[in-house]
Amino acid sequence: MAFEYVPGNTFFHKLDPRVKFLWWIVVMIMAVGLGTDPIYLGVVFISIFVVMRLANIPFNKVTSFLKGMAPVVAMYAIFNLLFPPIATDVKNPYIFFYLIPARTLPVSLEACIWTAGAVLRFLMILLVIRTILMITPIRDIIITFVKLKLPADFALALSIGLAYVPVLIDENTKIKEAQQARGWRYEYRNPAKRFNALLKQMFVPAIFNSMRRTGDIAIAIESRGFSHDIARRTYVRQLKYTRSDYIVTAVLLLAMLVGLAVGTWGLHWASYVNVARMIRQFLPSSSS
Amino acid sequence: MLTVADKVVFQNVSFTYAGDSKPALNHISLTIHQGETVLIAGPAGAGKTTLCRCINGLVPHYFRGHVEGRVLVGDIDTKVSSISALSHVAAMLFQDPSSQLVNPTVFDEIAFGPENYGVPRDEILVRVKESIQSMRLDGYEERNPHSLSGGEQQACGLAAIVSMRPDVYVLDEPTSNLDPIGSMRVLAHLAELSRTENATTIIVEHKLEELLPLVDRLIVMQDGGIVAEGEPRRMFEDAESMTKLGLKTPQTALLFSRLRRFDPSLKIPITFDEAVSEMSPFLKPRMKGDARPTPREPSDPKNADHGDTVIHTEDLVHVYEAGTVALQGVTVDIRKKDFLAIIGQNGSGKTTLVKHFDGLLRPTKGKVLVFGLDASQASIRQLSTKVGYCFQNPDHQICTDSVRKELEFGPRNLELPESEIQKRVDEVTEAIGLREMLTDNPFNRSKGERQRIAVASVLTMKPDVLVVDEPTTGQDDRMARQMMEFYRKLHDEDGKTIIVITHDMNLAAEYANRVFVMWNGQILLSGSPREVFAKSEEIEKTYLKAPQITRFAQALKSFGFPPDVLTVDEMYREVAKRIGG
Repeated sequence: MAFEYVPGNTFFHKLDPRVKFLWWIVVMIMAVGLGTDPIYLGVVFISIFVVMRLANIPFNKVTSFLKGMAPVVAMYAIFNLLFPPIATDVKNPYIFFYLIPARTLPVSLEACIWTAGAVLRFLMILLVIRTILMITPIRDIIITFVKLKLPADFALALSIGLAYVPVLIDENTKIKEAQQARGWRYEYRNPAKRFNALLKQMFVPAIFNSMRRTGDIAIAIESRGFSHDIARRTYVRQLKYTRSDYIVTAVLLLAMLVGLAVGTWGLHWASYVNVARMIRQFLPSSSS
Repeated sequence: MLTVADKVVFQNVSFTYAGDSKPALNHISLTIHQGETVLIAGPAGAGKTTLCRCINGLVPHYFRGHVEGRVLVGDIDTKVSSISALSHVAAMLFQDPSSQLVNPTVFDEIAFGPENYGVPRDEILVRVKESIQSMRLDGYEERNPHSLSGGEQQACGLAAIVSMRPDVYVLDEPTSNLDPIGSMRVLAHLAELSRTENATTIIVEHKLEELLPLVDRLIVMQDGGIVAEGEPRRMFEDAESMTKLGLKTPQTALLFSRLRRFDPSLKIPITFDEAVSEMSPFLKPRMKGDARPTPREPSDPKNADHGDTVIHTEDLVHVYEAGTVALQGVTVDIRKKDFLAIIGQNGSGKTTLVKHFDGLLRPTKGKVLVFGLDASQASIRQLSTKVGYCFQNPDHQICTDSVRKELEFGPRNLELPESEIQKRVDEVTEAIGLREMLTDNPFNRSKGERQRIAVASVLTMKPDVLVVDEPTTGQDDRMARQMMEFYRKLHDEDGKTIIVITHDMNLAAEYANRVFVMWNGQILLSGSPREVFAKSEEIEKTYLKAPQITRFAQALKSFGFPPDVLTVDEMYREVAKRIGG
């Protein structure tokens, strides 16, 4: 499941959710701001795994998540491989082969390296979000939203939505079972057929039930004073920045500055163009 | 005109929901005083829920329609106030606990109300702590409310409104999803609240047996109006007309009202203990008849007279993915002529067991044979022609826009010839009396009708065994009996094997010919209803209770009453025999 808190008591669990959020921002900036230099991204990538390790996150949860994301990542990779924006950087790419004869859709060494970086970047952002969700209870995420001045009703709506995910899953399982118990089949090999069966027989009861649910929830929260005076609402859960939060914030900001500086001026030798050039020395010369 | 003591006042109130032609409330005038505990009873569709909705403003601010008259809560006119302002004074607990638990943890759930009303943080912390303790939810603070059992969810829902410190509690069937002991616990909390806080409490419930001793006033509704009202003891002086009004009269009260034939001055007891202590002085001077227990026909321990085995499980173990052991080694034989009631506390494994019969669950270990077919190998589709399964909530099942299509759904999935499909639809339509609604949209029919449509759509699969999961939950006594009569007919006339999961012990005692008591993933007791309910001490260990009349006979065993009396009729005959009537 996408929102799964893995209870724990590690240093990382105990950090203020705002610090965790900052970690995500820093990784985003470092990942997106610096192109796709594989060596540089690799370093940041490893740092994420170090955090996961130290936060005692079970590795099977990470792999099952990655498995779930695999199709999306694969599409992203193929797209980058076939359409790398490298034409301006590399005049004479090392072409492995053409996907379509007559010199269309080349697959080049440079594109491979570029893609490796792009995939790393994509995975990094996903993994950081995944890690934060695993070490932060939902209610802390909500409070963060409130503290970051998102509208309170939006934050609460989100919280209610998240609290309901298990209920909805349970309900849809029941609906599916009720149809199966009357001989209904949906395990077709053909995905179109399968989709059609699911849509037809799950759709009506699922919509009916979620409409009813929505009404019930609206009644329930209104009956507990939800819209009484949102601006003057009390928040029992509070966030407090501790010393370790300040330290981690400082470390993160420093890492970002150093990373940006090194990435922009110092590490030119590590750009994908240079990495490709280095590898090319060991390859037979390009056929083209 | 309005005194402080009048907490909730209805002044000639009528209400018709927008789009309906019939009024849901019809000229209601009612005054409820500060500190009073009022029980509202009556058949389904009588307007009980609508009445509750008027008090916290859901009617007319959320449910719109035509209103006449005035509802006053304290000195607030509900028409000019808002739901959230009214709920601060009159908090409402709803029937389905899962649809009112909206927060990620139990702690947040209980804090939610006071947070919304801007109660200072320190005060909220105190209230949450108190509520958690009084509802015995200690240790659950950080759990997701939806991961709790039904009883715990209900306790959490109640804690969440107690923390709002309202003057008035409005509780709409707060125990409908609970087993007997769970209900008792919630009801005892309520009684304590109204005592300690001098709160005004308005409860809608079908479970009179537990509630009558706790309330000051009983209000009976029918067709949107109040048809009877008064102190419960006085009202049950006429127990039979209470039953005619659609109430589930306690069995001992029914018995006593019939015994008045022998002594017109006999007082009607409203609690179990009263009944027991009043029975001795009635019986002692009159005992002259035969005090020996009526001999029973010996029941066959092997159930051979119940015909061939249709379902057989052997050492069936089921462990859910999350690691919960739901069944730990169940070995049973279900026979052709069984009308089997499976009873047990929430979470004892009832539903898990029956889901193995049509392949919705596969055994983790052990064997399930359905008509000799290995259920772990057979497909759900194959099994669905042998074992029909009716879900508790018909809305999980209904998936088409006409009753006819719904009935055709199963046979079509089996790819039967068109003529056979139509033949089956005709048969079932006739048997269940759905003829006049065949072209209607099932979602527009009442809940009771949807339940019948759902059963009908399983019957067109022509299963030999019919499994029904809690068919009577949240229904009034009359509807529940109609449903059970219907299954009895399927059993007696059509030769179906019936398996009913239920929380209603009285119905299990009256209708079933075999009972399983489940506890902790095992079958603790099995046998005829007489054999099972005679062991009421063992039953109580599983947090269930034998029917009131059975326990009553057991409490009076010094007069020679058999321990396995199942119905009021039977008990009446036993008493009459002893006093020579």
